[in-house]
Amino acid sequence: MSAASLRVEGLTGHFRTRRGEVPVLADVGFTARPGEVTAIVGETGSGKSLTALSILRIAPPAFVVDNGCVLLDGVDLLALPERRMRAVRGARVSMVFQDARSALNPVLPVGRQLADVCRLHRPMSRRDAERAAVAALTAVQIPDAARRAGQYPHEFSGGMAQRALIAMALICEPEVVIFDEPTTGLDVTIQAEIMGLIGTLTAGGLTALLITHDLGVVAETCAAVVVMRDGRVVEEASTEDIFTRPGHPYTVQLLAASRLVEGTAR
Amino acid sequence: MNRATRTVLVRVAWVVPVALGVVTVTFFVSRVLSGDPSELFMPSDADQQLRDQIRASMGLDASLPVQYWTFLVDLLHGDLGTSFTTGQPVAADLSDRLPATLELGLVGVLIGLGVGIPLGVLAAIRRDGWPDFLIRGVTVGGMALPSFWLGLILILLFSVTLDVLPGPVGRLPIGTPEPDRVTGFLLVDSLLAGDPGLFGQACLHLVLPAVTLGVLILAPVARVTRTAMVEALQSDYVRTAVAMGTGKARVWFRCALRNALLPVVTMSGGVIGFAFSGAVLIEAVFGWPGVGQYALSAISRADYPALQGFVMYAALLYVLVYLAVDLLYLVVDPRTRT
Amino acid sequence: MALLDKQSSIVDTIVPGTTLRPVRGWGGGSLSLHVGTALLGLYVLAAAVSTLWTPFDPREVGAGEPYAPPDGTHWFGTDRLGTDVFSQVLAATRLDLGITVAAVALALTVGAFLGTVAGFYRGVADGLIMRSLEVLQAFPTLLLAMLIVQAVGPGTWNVIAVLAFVGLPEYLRLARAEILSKRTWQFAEAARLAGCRPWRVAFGHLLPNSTGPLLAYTSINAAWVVLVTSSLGFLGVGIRPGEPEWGSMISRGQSGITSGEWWISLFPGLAVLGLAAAFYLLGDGLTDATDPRRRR
Repeated sequence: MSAASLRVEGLTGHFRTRRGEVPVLADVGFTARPGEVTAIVGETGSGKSLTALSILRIAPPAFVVDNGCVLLDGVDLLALPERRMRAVRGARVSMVFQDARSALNPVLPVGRQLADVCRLHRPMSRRDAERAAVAALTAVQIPDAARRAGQYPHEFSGGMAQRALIAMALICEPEVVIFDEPTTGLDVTIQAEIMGLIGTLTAGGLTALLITHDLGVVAETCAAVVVMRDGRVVEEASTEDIFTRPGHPYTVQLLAASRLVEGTAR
Repeated sequence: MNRATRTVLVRVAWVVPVALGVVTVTFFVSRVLSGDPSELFMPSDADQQLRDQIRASMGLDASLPVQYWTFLVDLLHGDLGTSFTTGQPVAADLSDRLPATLELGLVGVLIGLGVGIPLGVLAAIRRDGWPDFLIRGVTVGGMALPSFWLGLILILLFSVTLDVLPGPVGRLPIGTPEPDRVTGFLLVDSLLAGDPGLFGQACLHLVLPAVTLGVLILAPVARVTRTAMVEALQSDYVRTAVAMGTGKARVWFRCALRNALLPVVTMSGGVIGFAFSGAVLIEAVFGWPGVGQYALSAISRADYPALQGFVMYAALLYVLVYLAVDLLYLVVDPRTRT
Repeated sequence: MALLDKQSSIVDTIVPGTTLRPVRGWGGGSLSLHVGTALLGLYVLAAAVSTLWTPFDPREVGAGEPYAPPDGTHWFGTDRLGTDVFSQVLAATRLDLGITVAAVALALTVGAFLGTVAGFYRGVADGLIMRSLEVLQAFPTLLLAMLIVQAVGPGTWNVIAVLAFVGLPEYLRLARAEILSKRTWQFAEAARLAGCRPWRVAFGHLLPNSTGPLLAYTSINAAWVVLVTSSLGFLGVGIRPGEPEWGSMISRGQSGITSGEWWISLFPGLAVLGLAAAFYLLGDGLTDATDPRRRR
């Protein structure tokens, strides 16, 4: 897995609505480095998911980018023609969504879905793709992967489906993976397992972007934190710095509300 | 036995009580509510003895439960009674006319699904654009059309005004003999008899009624397809496919349509049932000698055995078609198997 | 320009559907709602007006030349007996619209009631009702209606009753489904704990909260009733002869199609089409307006 850094600079955009243009992102910028997990934290409506979708250029059509760039190893993704961007999605930059079971196609077997993604980006026979699918499922620690590959998403538990989705995101060995609230709704033990998996992946050189509102998870596994509020980046620093020397008042508020840091509660 | 097999068996087993219910209801509605059918055969000056004789010959002298039982037993032997108007066994009448209805129904359903589904997909893909607007307008109109009126208008347009298609005289031009009956389907039999001219005639006569039926079917099919497709396109799994780099066409057809067709499968049951139970009004307007027309004349002539036979055929057809759809659903939607 | 390039590459996304393009129409409603309401209003107006005045007497034989094509005096032409077609179409609005409203109202009330009983009390009553529905719904609807009308005899009220009967199963199913899903909700529990008798909980609390799908179905049901009423009229079943009705007018004009007097069947048919379409559009418009997923 080759390493690449992802840098967002000055991302600004708005929604086109019936009542006119509603600005939603203003000058968003941060850097995610290979080999570590960079967290984007913020409350609902802060624009974190929208930023993630914009990186892959799969935001709703009503969202329009006014300015900014997304540099993957120096190449601006926002400037690429759609055809080239399709080659990036899933192969160089992947995304893992919340609620894995609904994120998988209910009428196709899971292994088949993984194999399809594989064959999308690499010329490969169906047999080889199926084998790669089983290997990917095994790599995310799904037991009895060969049998599971023939099953349908509704037969998977929530945690297992999340792993399968991660497997799908990884099957083409991308350089960057964005995780959008991958552990929300899962049991605490499963959460820990998923986060452990992500940790292992980054140890292998992956660049990971973790979108979350759970500061506990951030404290455990992330090296850097980007704090967002109302469509802006409010603070960007290493995890240690954020938790010990928060710079921005909003960051302090978040920490206080999460009760992770003693002495900051008012 | 596993869950899926058990579901199938239970579903199939349900056919029997429902079929029995259908048959019973038909029996009672036609017998009890319609009065004494023997009245039709009474000479006006018949004395009591003659009346009793006639009623006995029709089996009407027995008590109602006995009549019901006789009816059921006959039914199991395939005996649907004898038509008052044709004098033939109703079962024979129906099987005579069935191919005409099936031929029309089949082509109509093919047109309906073959045009309706693509239109629905197009409307969903170009949602809120002019194709969507147009298709939605057309489908509302299509559903609001009275079938008999549409048939008449098409005849007016294509047969009378433009004179490119034959008028409502039935399956073939008046006086043209049918080919030797192998299947009963004119399109097939005429080819088997090596008569392309006849085949052509049969086709021409089939066009307008089949199109009428097709239009009536494609409207609701297009709507359901559109709604299902729109929902599929907004789903999480489509978002995943896009995020993984899948191209437009693949997303539409491999991902979204595959899911969107599920409600269409359910709907097809009703569509097929409707088409094969003789789209009565269409047969009436086009002079099509199918089971629908048979039922119509049976109603107007108070031919109760014939009517009863037809109603049972139609109801049982629906029961079987829905069964087939349910079973098909087990195949296409894996979620129903668990 | 670079910005424009970015714009187009982002807007040209594969996933349609969450467009925020303004819905056509003014006020809060969609085009369907407005057209549907306007069209229905037109019919109601026509029905009301026809009780007081029509251009010619719809039953008057010889009001004009027989088989006269549409012109300035007779807008829709005249039929075989010289009766003005436009007046007949106008007068028939009363019957067709009236039957529709009555049959739908009846089906809705009875269906909702039975559905509530089935969904709330469950048990044997539920099982019996549901199995009966299955048997009933196995029959092709037009034929079932015809069969029963033939059996009970002609007459407007008979037709209304039969159409209501054939139409109520769906209302029943919808009401039952709603009741079943809501009976365990907290507000039902609260009512029960407050001492409400069971039937009060069912009809006073659960049913009023379940009206959404039922009302949504009324427009589809209404369109169906319009079409079946005219079908019955076309076949000469149930409607008293001489009573102006669109379907029977189409039937009388049937021979005219091939012999050149097309107007006798065309206009009544358009009337049926228009009313049924009005109900569909209205239904669409109402669903659009009440859709919880509508974006800002």
